[in-house]
Amino acid sequence: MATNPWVSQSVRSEQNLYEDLVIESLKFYGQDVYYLPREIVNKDRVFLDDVPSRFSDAYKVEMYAENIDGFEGEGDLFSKFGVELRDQATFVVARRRWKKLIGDKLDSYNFRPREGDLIYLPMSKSIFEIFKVETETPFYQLSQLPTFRLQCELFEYNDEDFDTELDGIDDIEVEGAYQYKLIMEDPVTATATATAQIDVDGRVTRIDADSLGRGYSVAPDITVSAALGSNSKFGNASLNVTRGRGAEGSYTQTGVHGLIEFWVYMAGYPNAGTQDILFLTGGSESEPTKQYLWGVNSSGQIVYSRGDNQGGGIVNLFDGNATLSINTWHHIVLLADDTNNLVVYFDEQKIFDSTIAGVTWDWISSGGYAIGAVAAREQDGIQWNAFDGFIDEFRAQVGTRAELLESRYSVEGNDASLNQQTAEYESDSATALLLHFNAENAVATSGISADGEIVSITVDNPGLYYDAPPTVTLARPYTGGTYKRNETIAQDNGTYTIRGEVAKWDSANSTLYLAHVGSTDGTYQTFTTTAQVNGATASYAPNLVEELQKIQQIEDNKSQGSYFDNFEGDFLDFSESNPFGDVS
Amino acid sequence: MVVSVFGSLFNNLYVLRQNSAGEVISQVKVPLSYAPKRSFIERLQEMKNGEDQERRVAIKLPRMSFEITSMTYDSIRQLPKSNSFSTVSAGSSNTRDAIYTAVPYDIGFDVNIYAKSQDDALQIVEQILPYFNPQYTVSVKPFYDTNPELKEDVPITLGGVSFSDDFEGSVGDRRTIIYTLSFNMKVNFYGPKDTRSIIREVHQNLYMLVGDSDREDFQYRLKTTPTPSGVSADSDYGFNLQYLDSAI
Repeated sequence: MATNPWVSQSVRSEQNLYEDLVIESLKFYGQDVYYLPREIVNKDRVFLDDVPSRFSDAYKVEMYAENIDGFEGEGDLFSKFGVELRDQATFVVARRRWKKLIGDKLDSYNFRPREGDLIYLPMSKSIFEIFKVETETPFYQLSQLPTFRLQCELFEYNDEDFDTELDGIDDIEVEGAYQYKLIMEDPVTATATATAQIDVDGRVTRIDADSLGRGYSVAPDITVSAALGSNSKFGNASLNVTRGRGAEGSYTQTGVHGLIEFWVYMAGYPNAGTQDILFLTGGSESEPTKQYLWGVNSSGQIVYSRGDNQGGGIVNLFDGNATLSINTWHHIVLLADDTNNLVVYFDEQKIFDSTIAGVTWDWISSGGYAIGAVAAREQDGIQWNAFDGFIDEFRAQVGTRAELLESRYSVEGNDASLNQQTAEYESDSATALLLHFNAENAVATSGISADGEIVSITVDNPGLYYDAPPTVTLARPYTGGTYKRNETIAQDNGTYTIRGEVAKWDSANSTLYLAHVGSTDGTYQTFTTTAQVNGATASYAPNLVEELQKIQQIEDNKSQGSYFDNFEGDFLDFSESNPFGDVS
Repeated sequence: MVVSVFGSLFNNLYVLRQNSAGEVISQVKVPLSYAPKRSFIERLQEMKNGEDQERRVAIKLPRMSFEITSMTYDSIRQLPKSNSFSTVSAGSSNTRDAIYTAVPYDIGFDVNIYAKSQDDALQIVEQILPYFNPQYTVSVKPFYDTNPELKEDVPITLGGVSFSDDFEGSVGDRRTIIYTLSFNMKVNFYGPKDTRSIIREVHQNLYMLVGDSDREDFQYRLKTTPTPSGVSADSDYGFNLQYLDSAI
């Protein structure tokens, strides 16, 4: 019988009609599957194989499964290697559809499906490997070949890398790949801690590590809390004399005439019959006539003594005109002027302007100064105690009354009061001494060992005027965060870097499951518990590393090999060596 | 124990996969199991991975198994059967524990390596062969639970390596690569421990020959006991000699 005269087999339109019908029937009877092209990673040029293949793309396409009564093949076999599933399936896919959906997206070998590529069948959750592609079945109907026929067998998983971003496919790595389980330590727990100690001047003398931390890859930054004084008039601190602090030294210039001014805050009066010293200026033991002590008595009144007072007499020049109130800042100006007068301003109001019998002022001398607790001393048999309170903004200037005071009068030409001081002074040509008593923050740096622990903390700047040991905070060894599935993580262990692919991140238990683990040095390595494991947005150090065997398990995540491991230490003597593996 | 000793030799073998730069991109510790087993146990274990995983792939490779193939009495190594070695019984100074000579047996083992590629299979084989020339000896503690200080050398001999690689045939056929290594393990099987009393008293009858005749004249009987009397077998002691009877 001749062929149908009404259908011309070589006419393109007739062929297209036929192909359209085939495609439509495949869409009707077929099912959606995913086509996974194989990516050659490292072709073995000796055995012509590619063991570490990768599958990173999955193309959805409709295929018709020819199997009617189930998969073909030998079914489930039980051998000396356990259960093996020998299912076979045959899929039919339209040429035009495969070319459009898949072939056009492949860079090479893209004119037909390829042996070695995979097909994921969502219906049975199975992955099939294409063993043979029949390109001529059915054979040239209407003088064309509209379909491919793919002979497939269930895939043998050999630790291939699946990164399709489809959980149904990539899950094979979760359950099938050889994995490492890393239980991560919380970054806070892994962070080193340290404690500082300070001296009487509020300088940090040492910082001791309380815990060495772990997982540090670089020496962590150290933050020392700010040295904020508990009380100050200007700036961030004052001289806390109550804590035993003081200052002493020499003036940068000297002068017979000059001005000393400061702010004082008294926390408590001296006991009855005693006096506290505020400051000492000038003189020395060999020149007592130039040695002037100023302090307060038990009533808070400012008193004065001089080294040659013939028995250390204490002089109360001002009575009630200069009385320090408790817990209040007071401003004091003492001027030995060019007429040998002592001029005194208390809280900007002049309270004294007179000579003192027998005293010729030599005010800012080469004998230097002493302020606060270091000035506590015996003067002519009388004990002056350390002041209980704070001193701030201490200044000494050389010059005459006109040079030093006139410009500061509240009313021009009227020396009754001075303008209120509103900020820290700046040094000028008359300045012999200017102390702001501002605190400084301590600075420290750390060093780490090869094991990622703190081995040293060095105080680079001890700071000043800490009223209490500062809080020392070391930076975290790693950030924590969340590992993303399929991302590559790395742990730098010095001579090699070990990498792995995230199969699963269990954030609730801080447990990371890694597949496709390998080292850059080309040898077998494992993760350490000393270095951090870095991902794109996460970083932790593990405190436990386990190997998970997902194949031939006798219990969860353990093969029989690990069972032998538990026994071999008992009945095998590998005290010299075990060439076949480690015995722990 | 024999099975575990043999399995311990091969439970730390690895396969490395490298990229073109020579970096390892996947390292796999090859799972090992004893081959003969009940299939339902294996199926139950597989089911733990969930329904979706049960039929996802045909098999996960590489993997290894081993099994006993033969057990043969080795008469050449048999020592006198009445020999024994003994030690003081724990907790008693009047008895000793003794074990008679072991029974030597040659046990044949097959180690099977199933891999998807020749490279994988050869990596595994290369971690085994260099240590057998053709013999490798392990030190075993046969009484690891009671006398772990006793060690015994157990030679294991590699008899041969065979493999099948059915790469030929139809393009659509599955390729299977299986290496089989045959070993012979020379083991000793020990019987149960025997507890014996210690000899604490010896009687000797002494005779003297008379001339050239066969006559022997009884001279005296000697009783020998340790001193102190309650001494244990491994402590220092002397002897107490006592003449019980005399014809003189």
